[in-house]
Amino acid sequence: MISARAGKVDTGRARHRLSNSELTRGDRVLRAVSGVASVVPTAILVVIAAVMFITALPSIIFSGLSFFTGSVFSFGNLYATTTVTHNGVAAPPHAVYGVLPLIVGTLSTSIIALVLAVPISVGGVLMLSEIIPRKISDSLGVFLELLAGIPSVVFGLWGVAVFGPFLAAHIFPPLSAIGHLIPFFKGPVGQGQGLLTASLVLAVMIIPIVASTTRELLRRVPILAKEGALALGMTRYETVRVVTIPYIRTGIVAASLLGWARALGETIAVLLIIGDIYSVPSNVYGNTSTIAAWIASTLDGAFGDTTGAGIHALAELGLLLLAISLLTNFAGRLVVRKVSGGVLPVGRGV
Amino acid sequence: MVVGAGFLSAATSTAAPENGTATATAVSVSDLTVRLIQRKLLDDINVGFGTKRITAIVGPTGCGKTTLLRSVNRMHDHTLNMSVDGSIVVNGMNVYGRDVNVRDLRRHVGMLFQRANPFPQSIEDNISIAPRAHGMIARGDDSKVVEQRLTEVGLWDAVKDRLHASPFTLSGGQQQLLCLARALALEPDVLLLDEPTSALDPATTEHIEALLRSLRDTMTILIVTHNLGQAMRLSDDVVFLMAGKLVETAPTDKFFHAAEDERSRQYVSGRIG
Repeated sequence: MISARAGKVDTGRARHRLSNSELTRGDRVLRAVSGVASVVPTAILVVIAAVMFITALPSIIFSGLSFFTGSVFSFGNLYATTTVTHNGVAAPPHAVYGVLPLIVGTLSTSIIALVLAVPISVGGVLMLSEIIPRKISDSLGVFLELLAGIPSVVFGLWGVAVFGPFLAAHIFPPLSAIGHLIPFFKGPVGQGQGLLTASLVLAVMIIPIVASTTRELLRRVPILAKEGALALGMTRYETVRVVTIPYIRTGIVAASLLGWARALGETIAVLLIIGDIYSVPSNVYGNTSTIAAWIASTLDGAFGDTTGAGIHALAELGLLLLAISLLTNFAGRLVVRKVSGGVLPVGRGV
Repeated sequence: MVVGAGFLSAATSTAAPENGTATATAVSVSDLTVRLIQRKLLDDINVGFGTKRITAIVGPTGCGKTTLLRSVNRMHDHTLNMSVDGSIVVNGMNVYGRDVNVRDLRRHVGMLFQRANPFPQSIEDNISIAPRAHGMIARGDDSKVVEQRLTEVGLWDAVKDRLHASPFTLSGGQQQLLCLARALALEPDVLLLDEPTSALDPATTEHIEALLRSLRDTMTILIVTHNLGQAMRLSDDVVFLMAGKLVETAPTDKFFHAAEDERSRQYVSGRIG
């Protein structure tokens, strides 16, 4: 009898399906709640993407590829009594939607910010948790968390009122002087509003994200692994290099992606600092804009467009930002998979 | 040196015949008290470990075996709120002396842990990183050292075709052998083993025990073990701790058959443990 039952249970799907009579009421509630909860994030993403796509569709048809390659963006003559029709989509006369400068601005600010923030965060956190005595590092760590709590508008105001002018007065001129060696670094430095200032403020904003994630990673490095190095007479620095960094390497990629996503989408701070001028600047000090900042600053104008073409164009811009975010995330995951490739033990941490 | 005298005299009187000269003390521990915050993990330990002998440190769980072992190479330095009083002398070097170079100490005192903890580096680098850090090998000689050490522990044939692979692709026993080879690459005078085979299968355990026996000719070995059978098979001397205090030290044969302390006899017979 027992063997017969076992045979039956072992066949196919029946094994995985629990009959309702085997579940307590609590089980059923948990199953329902967790089931719904597991679907919600995916559903939200799909719905947002779908709505964005539907709203953007007229603009996609209207502009075609020139949306990505053009560098002129205008809602056209919003007071005109006539409309023009292109590919069957109506828009105000002289309306052009080419967003190349925004793509350049978004990628350059976020990448500069990332390149600055990741080494500072990782280096700083390694210093804090591996080198400096625990008592000091704990109190210093508090500042990191405080930094994460500063509202972005405060960063923006500080950037435009304090940090930018300081940079323009003291940092950019010498940078510009050696700028002949580095592309895009020479030339007029402006008043402190612009691409590089925005990048630097973004770097400060994503440091707490990258740093706190890295801190969590460090806590998960097995003590036993580090003791192995220390017991061989290796210094703390050598231990960090030989043991700690390999353990957290893939996690740092993930932490950087989190920071990058923040930098890509940051709106108000960038809008206040970057100058919000629609052009690709000739050097890193120049005014420009980013996708997020441009959407925020022109939304009002777009609502004045009775044909709806302006809103559609901004929706396409939003869709583009979403796509860039998803793409970087996806690329990062690929990197993580490549780098980790079975180098680290799975489920063997202490 | 005075401290270990009682133990040493006992050791010489019943001197392990296969070893002959057990006259020197490689590690002598004096008045060692280790505290975690206020709690005493070890209380006034005085003991000597004979040169080129295998000494098993045994005792019930929580008696301070591992704490004693880790005191020898100052691993407590890395644990918060641990304080160490007393002194330990390893081959004339005062471990807790003011001018001791911990890096140098650990180059001479190797350690193997309860579980394998290879570096997240290639198998090859696991062996060569530490000697290179200590300036013991020139870059060009890496492969020679790697082959020598892996051969020594009997791992060479299994890994020679994948020296660049991750050590985590090896079995648990192979990983522990790799860690042993890694420790041996520094040519230590003293080897500390913290239950090195407790997570391993009998065959690998036997292999490691045989290796340790052969290493006895060149180094002093301290092994913490829960396995009394292992202590009996492997060690020349036994140090028995209970609740942070030293109960008895004796040559292995004497400890298992004619221990002086009642508690030792009870422990050996399995009435406490």
